[in-house]
Amino acid sequence: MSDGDPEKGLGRGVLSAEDREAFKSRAGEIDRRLSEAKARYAPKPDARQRGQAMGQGLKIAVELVVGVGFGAIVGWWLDDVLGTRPWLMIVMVLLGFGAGMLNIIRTAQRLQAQAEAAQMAAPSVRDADRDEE
Amino acid sequence: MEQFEINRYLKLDLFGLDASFTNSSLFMVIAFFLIIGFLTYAMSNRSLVPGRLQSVAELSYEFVANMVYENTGKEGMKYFPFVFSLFIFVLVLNMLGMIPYSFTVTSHIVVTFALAALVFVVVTGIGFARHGLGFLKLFKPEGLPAALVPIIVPIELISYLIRPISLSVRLFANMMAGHTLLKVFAGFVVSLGVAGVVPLIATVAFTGLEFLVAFLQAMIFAVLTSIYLNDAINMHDHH
Repeated sequence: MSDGDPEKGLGRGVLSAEDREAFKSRAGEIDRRLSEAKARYAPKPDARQRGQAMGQGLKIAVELVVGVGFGAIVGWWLDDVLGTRPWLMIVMVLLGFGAGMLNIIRTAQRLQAQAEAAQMAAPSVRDADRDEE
Repeated sequence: MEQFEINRYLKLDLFGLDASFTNSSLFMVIAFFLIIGFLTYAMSNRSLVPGRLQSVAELSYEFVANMVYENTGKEGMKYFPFVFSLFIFVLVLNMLGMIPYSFTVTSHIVVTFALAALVFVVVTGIGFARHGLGFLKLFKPEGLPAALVPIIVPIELISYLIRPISLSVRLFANMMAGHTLLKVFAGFVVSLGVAGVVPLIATVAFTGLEFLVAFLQAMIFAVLTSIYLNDAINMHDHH
């Protein structure tokens, strides 16, 4: 290590070329070991989990379609009643889209919370960031 | 398609409403007696160490009880019987539909929408009963700037109103699409001759998948019911 050597003219925190190389190779080594460990500890996706994921996907897809569809139909009907074609339909489609999105975001937030809780509870996977506690 | 057709077995006219006893009604009655019969028979021994049937009954109870508890907290357990009835009814109807030549009640949107509307009415009723007019705060998130009220409130309102639609469309579409898919693939088996082995394999695989979907859709129906219950009880907060 030469970074402590003042003769070289490199200031503190500046790496020489070979140090940078050494650092890069060490970082690469860590990266390789990390991905190996991740592959080893990652739970294997079984059919049941895959099925549940499929269910979640369908759930979200339906949510989006229904929001827009509901907005379109209600907007159409309101336009008919009030004679404002096409403005209310346009507004309602946009609002319906927003509502569908809102439902999707809520679903995703719930899934996220569940996944995080499951990860915290899993004893086999240690979270390196939490070791100091 | 023939498997989705409604046949009237017993014509009945109730004040201008068609209340005939159909194949759909028949399968609902079958499901009802299957559920009652199974649960009563399975729990008749009430042994401390459960036998095979008793385990199944206890497992289904615990499955739904955990689901309701996780989503609504302790308060929501009051409504456990409601969620359990819905879950087991939809599950048995879906599974009965997997038997060849049987009728899939849940592949008709009238039925699923009636169930979803029931959930909607019950949940909204519980919300107003528990919070009074304060339940309307559900549509106006706290700390909402006044300028955003005309946008956010309609969106929240619509997102609440489309719940019964998405709940019913999801169940009906999954059941109908799955059965149609099976029929289409099975139709190819004969017409393709020797090459019909390929769609035959696909049909077998899809049948397995359909069983999974039948269970999943019943589960999603129950999970969403308990999530909606949570909104009515705890107003969007996760207990």
